[in-house]
Amino acid sequence: MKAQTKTADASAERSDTMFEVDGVSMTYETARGSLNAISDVDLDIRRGEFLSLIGPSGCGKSTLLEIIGGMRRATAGEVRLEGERVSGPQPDNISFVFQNYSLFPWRSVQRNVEAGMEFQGMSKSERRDRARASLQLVGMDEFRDAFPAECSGGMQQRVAISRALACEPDVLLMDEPFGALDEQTRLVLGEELGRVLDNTDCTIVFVTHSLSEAVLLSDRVVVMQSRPGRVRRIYEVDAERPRTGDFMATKQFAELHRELFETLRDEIRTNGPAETMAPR
Amino acid sequence: MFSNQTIAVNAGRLGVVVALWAVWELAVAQEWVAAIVLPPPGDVVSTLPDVLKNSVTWQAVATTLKEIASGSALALIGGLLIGGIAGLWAHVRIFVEPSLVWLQVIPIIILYPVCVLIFGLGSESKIVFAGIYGMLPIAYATVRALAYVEPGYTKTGIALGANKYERLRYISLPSARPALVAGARIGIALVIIGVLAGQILGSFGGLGYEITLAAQRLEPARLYGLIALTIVIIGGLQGLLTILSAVLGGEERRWPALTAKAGRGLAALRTDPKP
Repeated sequence: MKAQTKTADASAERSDTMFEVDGVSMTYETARGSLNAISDVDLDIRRGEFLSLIGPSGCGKSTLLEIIGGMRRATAGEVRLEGERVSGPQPDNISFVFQNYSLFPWRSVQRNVEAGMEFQGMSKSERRDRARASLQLVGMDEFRDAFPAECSGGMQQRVAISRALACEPDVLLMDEPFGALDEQTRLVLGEELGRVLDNTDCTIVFVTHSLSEAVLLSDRVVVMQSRPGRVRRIYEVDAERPRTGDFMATKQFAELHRELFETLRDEIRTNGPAETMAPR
Repeated sequence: MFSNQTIAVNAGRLGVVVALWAVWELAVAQEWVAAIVLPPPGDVVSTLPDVLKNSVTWQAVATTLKEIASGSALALIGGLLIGGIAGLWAHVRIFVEPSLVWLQVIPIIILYPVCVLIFGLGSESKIVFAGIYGMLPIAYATVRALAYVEPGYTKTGIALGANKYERLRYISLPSARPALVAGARIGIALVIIGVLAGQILGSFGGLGYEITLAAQRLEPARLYGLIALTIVIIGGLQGLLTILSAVLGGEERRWPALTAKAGRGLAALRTDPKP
């Protein structure tokens, strides 16, 4: 895979593994007893790869993503980033893109993009320049003075991605970033995202409901099962990134898409849709 | 440029005033009501210059406005302080929030005599009573706004590395702003009512006091003149507050959904509302 070889050349002695998810479990105490959201997940995330997490609703994908990013603490097991245990958010290293309510409505597009750099104490002129550059990358520079309420859903997610990239993170964690968008916008944005990310060395973990999105964008697709959430199978998408929409017309895409669908269908039929969602 | 709708609405409003005036004339002329209770409209209009020239009237206006200003300051400071503390600390909130709801349910005017006992008949009792009256909705709005910030905003802030202070300063406060301004608007409206009610119930000065005095002295023309003056002054004040809260609270570009609501009051003040 291209991204991997790129980084491997740069530093041969650095390990190929970015994240080690080691026996991670997450149990919630609810009024009806304890709920096992994730159980004993082991997963190695490679440096520079694009990894998708896919699975039925309530299988703990989002919870796992938040544990990886240090936003939640696992009840058992641990996550290591380059060998160091992740014990809290690392805003200078790990950036998030969420599905909803991630832009601050009282800030202009540019001030939204600046927010992370502002919290990290960057000077005004530097964060302004970086925000502009990052907005240019996602094609939103001309809307920098607009407010989120004046932007469409797709534009808002472009801004959210731009904000995450402006922090120049090593890791980008995306929780259904295009989940609220229509299919066409979602694929157009996905294609653009692939292109934008090709210029970075970011390692990306991407939670999605969309099989097409997962196959189009990823190096590997992790299919999770529910009750409790576990890794069921991991698929490799052996094709050069970034890919264009044309990839969706290939036999390889169709076969992977079908395989993923069959795995998920079996999973949903065996376990049924998850009853309980993780508390926010 | 007036649209047909604007002309129709304003004509309707004028029609209501004319109709009331006609009923008033008729009621007095036909002696349905005694002139001592309701003097002819002409008498009220002819006493207006006397009412307006009288220095006692303007002293009363000054007293009223001063009491409203002091009461509002008390309500704002107290409300934001109580609401701020309860909004930010959950263990204070669990008993403050329900108390604020219950205090707004009881007719708090029954506590006014206690205020007079403690603070006397001067301005202090009005300021304290109206201040507490207006403090309640401000405190409640503040608690709600600060304690129930959209979790997505907070989550994003944490992910972006905002510390506790930065989350308060850059996330909770700006997201609470429209609700805080709305609470302040309601609170100050209650302060105005509280001051006038206090002046009517027991005081040495102010518009409420002069109105009561005119009624007790059986000076109906002065009574209605003072009522008209009070309506004009308080109406103007409320109008100013509505404009101010629309400007401070929900800027249209940031909070379009909220502004649609807040803007209605503002639109009513425009001579040419956009259809």
